[in-house]
Amino acid sequence: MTALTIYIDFKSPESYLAFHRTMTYLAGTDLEIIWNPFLTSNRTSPPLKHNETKGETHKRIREEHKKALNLKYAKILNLPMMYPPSENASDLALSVLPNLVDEKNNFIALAFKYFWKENLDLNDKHNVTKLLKASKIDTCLLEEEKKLLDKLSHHTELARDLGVIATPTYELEGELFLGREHLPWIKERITSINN
Amino acid sequence: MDNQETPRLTVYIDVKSPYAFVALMPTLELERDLGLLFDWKPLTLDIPSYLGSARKDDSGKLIENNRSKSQWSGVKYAYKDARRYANQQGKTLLGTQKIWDSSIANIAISWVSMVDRERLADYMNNVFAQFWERKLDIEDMQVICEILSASKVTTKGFEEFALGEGLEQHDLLQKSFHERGIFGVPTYEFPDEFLFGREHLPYVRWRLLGRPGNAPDIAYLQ
Repeated sequence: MTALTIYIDFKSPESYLAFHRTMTYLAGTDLEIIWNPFLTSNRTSPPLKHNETKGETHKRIREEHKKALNLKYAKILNLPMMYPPSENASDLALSVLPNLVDEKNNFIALAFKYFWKENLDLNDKHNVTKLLKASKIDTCLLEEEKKLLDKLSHHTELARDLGVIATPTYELEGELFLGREHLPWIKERITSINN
Repeated sequence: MDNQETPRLTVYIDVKSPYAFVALMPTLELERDLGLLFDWKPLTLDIPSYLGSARKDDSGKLIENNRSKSQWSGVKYAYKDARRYANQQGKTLLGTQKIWDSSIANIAISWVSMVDRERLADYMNNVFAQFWERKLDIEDMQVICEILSASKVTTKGFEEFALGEGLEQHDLLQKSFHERGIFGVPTYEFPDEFLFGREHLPYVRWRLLGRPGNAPDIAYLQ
């Protein structure tokens, strides 16, 4: 069976949209999806400031545009999406991901829902405990919080060494594709590999 | 198609952008398929202002570098990504050795739109393809005149235009982009919204067709 590795971060809006789109788009395709964590840097649009450099303006309006487009496509994909009012993190929830096997898909779907629909901070132990319980996963995983977070940094570094720069990144037979816009080609490649 | 019911689409493009290069073919195909004439305009990127700068010698060795590690990773991925799609289109995309000033080549887009709109696709196909094969010095006025001639577009008055009225229009346009929230290429602009990136072409098509059925998600067309 073909393996498709997908690097995600719960706080990444593009990862959220890609998760749902990927599950629908690749449904019925004979493949194993491996969801891996990748810790992205926070990307909230910087506020407009006086004497902004050209580069700072570019960065600000680019982030504002991405946000508007993410909200637009969330509507198109019929997915509830609300940007958190403050810069929420999701490191702790993300650090749990490599430890899961069968429950992975439910856990990911719920984590995205908590973050993008309910705007819960998934770096907060109380919220992550709630997430684990709702996903029917043993909460004792969180007893070694520091170890989990160290491992997450390690996983992220390994992915960076492979060339991953942001999420969602799809890795198929060593080739990297950043963004769900590549799904038509990825699907075609999987079909070709499977045949 | 009834053009009166179709919203006007402006496409912003820059010869030195690898992503604009791979967007060219599917955008021209869309224009042709729908029997429309898009309003193509130059957006000459100021790359060092947001992505740092670098320069390589003829052997590919880095001789000037003002980029951070993460900027390099982003640039490397962008070229690799654009190259595989260019290959899929049967085109060659070789990495550039410096950040070129593409203003003359871009002003020529406005020139062709003004003097011989029917030849615009030919000019853009020629200038993009040869530039990305490293066959063109796009900073040389004479070289751009040769590409115009090869595309059967008159060059009579082009130099004057490129140094006068055309340059003025070009510079005014560049100054307007950030205020309007526009920052990169390709950008597809309708009167009421704009979208950055060729992944929005399915949506652009859907809008130009009068929004039939559900709007599509982003995708790179193959």
